[in-house]
Amino acid sequence: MRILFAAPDRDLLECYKKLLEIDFGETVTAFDGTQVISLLATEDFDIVILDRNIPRIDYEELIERIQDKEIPVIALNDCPVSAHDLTEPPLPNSWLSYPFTPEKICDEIKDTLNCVSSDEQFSVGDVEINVPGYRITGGPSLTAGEIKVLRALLNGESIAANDGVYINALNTKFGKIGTETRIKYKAKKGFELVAQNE
Amino acid sequence: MNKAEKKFRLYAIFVIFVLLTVLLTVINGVNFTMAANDADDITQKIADRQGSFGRVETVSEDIISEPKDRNFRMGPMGPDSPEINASIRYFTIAFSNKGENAETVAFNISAVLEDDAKQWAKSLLKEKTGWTKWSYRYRVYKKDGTTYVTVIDQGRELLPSFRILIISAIGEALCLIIGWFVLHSIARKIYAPIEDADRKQRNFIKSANKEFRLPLTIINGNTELAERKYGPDDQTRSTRRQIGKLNELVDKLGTIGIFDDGNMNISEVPVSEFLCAALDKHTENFVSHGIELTADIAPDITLLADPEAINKLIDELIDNAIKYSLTKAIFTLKSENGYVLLEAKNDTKLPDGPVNQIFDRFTTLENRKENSAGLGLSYVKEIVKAHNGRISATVFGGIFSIRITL
Repeated sequence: MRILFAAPDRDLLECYKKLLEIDFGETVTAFDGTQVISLLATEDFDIVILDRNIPRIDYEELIERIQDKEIPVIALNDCPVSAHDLTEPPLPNSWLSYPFTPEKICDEIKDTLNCVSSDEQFSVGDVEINVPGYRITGGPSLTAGEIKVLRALLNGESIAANDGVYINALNTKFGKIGTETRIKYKAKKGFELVAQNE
Repeated sequence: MNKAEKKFRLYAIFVIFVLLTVLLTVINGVNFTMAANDADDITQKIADRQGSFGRVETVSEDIISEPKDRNFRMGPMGPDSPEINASIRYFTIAFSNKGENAETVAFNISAVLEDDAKQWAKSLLKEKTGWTKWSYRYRVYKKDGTTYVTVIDQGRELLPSFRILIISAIGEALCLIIGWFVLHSIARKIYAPIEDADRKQRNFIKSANKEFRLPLTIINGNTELAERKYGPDDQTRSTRRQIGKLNELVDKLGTIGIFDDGNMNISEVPVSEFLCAALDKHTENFVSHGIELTADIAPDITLLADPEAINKLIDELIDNAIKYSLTKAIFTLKSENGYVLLEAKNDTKLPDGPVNQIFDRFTTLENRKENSAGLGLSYVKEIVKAHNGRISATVFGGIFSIRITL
């Protein structure tokens, strides 16, 4: 297992390289976009962790280049994820906001790798979700947070209070593909999948 | 234009409107009253002379108050002017036999025929004095068993008053329009620095929040590394506690301006259910702090709102009550006139008065029992504002209360 961790802060890279190597295996670090590009050209990686503020090359361009190689990306953000982050392509497979714990980033890596290696597909209303592709089948990309919310809805689990941003993003994406399915809050029931006109 | 600026402009223009309206109403009211009094003086003089000035060519000595002062006759024409006699348009009809026989006493008017004047006068018999047909003043009086009706035309005298009225109305409208633009520029000058300061504070908070996040992640990672290498000890545990506090602060700072982009997920929120569940969850917390909790929650109250935001609002109110109540906390939820009213009260040692400053960022009151960044209630205010609601805080009789209308 090989991880590429790209962030501009060397203390962060040094610390998390050690931690990730304990839990996963070899972790290569890069502190700017050009390093990321040259490492991707010469080496293979199972997953890339990419800080949004990586210098020299645009973060969006890097995401596209990494995903062209079919490598999953976890993006690190210095503020809470917004609806814009979840709807404007290119989308990473998952967002992680600073400050996070070592445990949190490890879980995120495991979840992402599990998703990518699975062949899971499930349906939400009339929408089919392609889990390894991180997208609505034939539609826009999804992030891990959105897939998690959809799974929770299907399993009748409660939605965390701070998942509202994912629900907004999902409703926007459902709107874009022209389905009537929406996620709405219902009194005494919580969030539910409903038809738009219900 | 922010809400406060809009409110200032609306209040200011309303005050200007009220003041101008009162002033112009008084001026015009006095003007018309004086015109009516002048007309009444004239009809009284006519009444005193049995319904007629006599021949219009003659100047009657007895209607001049100071007949020896010849210059007086040349002054402005009021009711006492000798020119009244020559200029007034009037008629007087005398009625005897309970109004059956009408006889013309004087008729010096062109706008009406004599027969019509009699009918007109008859219609006024039951009155005393007043205005008829807009600009005619009448007086009904009795002398020697005969009832006289004198009607004088005040149209020419009232014309300046009507002109003043119209000019007043146009002037007021112009003043309001000019006032609106002047207020706009004043409000800009007043509120621009406030908005600027607020924007700078928000930007500073957002930047500071960002700057905290990365070091916290690194401290967390290094603590984890140290624990994995040497095992947890008092120092690493203390570091983790401090990290926890800083994480909480960063979370709260991150909520500043969270609704600026209208980033809300509006649905029907069961507020009663949310509040009951939240209070249930914190019951033990209230007990462990020695606080007696009372909840008066009307059932099935719902609201179109962001459920996540309402949950956080309730959590912050409960957190505040736990931190600052001395012995008791009361939560009330009810619906009134289509609005949802949520009130959180607790006993306090604070002096009476409004304490709305607690909704400012980084503001805490003097009774704080625990470390607080003073951000929780500012977040509550942001939520209330984002839902177009109102929030206020007061202390009265040793009770601190936060009142929210949504």
